[in-house]
Amino acid sequence: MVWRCTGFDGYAVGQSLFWTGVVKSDPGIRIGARGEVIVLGYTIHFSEVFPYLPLLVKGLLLSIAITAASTLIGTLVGLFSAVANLSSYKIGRITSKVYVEAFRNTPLLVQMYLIYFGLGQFGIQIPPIPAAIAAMTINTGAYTAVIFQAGIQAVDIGQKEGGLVLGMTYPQAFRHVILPQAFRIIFAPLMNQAISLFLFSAVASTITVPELTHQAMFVDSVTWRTFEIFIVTTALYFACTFLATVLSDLYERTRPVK
Amino acid sequence: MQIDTIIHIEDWLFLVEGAGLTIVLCLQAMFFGILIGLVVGVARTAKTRLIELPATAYITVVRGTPLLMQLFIIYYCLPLFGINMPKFLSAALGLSFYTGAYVGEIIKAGLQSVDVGQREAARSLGMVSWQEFRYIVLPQALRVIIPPTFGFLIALVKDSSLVSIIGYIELTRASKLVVARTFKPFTLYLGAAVLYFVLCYGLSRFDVGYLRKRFSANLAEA
Repeated sequence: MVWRCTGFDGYAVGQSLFWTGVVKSDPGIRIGARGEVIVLGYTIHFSEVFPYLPLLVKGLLLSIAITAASTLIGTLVGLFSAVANLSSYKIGRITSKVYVEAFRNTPLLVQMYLIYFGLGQFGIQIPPIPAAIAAMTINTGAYTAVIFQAGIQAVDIGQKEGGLVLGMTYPQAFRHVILPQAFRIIFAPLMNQAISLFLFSAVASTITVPELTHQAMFVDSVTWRTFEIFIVTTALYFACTFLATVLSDLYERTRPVK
Repeated sequence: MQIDTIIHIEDWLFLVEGAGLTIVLCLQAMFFGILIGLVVGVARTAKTRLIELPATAYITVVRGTPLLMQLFIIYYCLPLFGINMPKFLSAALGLSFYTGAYVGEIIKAGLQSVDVGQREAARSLGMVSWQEFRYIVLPQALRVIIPPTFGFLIALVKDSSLVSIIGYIELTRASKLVVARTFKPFTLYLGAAVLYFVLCYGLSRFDVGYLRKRFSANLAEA
């Protein structure tokens, strides 16, 4: 049995060139009899979405929660991986490199499928939320490892030597001298990684985690107000990332890199 | 009825074919994305507020919202307004707009990295505006623009897996379809992951080996 991919063939290309029925019966934007806005024949009813706002906010909170949990654990994983990669132990370096390359070069979606659906092949069943957090943690850990490595290497070698001269052991110098300076340098990239992870947490909806996107799809199936619901959901996502960006910039400005 | 749950060689070929479609999709998204990015990136550096503001708004909104939501809006919402597109076009359009915003920001940074003295020198040599852009600003900006743009292309290959959710059959969707028949999710998703790895790791090796040398080394000399 040979399966063919549909989509990339003559028909699809022809369809791409000619959009069918660009305008239905009602071109342009007009105001209906009861003051409703009608765009290209589609009546926009944001009011039907409002009763479901608490549900969406609940989803948003779960989105934030799984992102926060994965970011926190992922940052630790990244730190350990970076330290292992910079260490003098060959086994640590190899493990760290394999981990970073394997997870940076495959999509989060496939990693999630592997953990949630894939492990089922061996009889291991993980509930959706832990599976999503696990996938997001190992994913963000790989990216964070590279960020940490760059940050640690950016700290002047004299700082480490200074710490050792003062009688600190290497772990002490690392913990009290190098890490604080490195952390300040990599704050912005770490923040960007967290925001990017938040955006990709939408993928968790595919493994039935009831986060924002999943709730939006549920409300869509109840109300059929597809456009309104997705616009509101997108706005909620945007509000969060925008706020996070503004706060991150503010922190950056109040504590410049010395 | 007996269900055939063995993974045949044809199934793996189906996955490879899916990987081919992922590449086609990414190339198209990259092509149109770079076109959009050029316009938006140049508009971002414009002094006129009326040009700069919409470009900034576009980049901020696209970079601040999930790709999945953008794809949903294009795939599920445009038909409500009577705009019907095949899945491939929805996917390509969504990824192009996504790419456009990120590449636009990279291009803006590249253009701004060129020292203002270079522009002034060009003008004092008697060059007109387009000559200044074509012969002075662009060649220098390109060295800054190309490595991160290439990095984004690698990210795009991974991000393109999201179009499987709106039903376009590329690598992830192809593996999902085979899983539906064979009930061997780990084997097949691992296969998909290996194919993604080959694509992305191969691209990143090419990046390091060729582009860095070609474009960044010149910059270091300058």
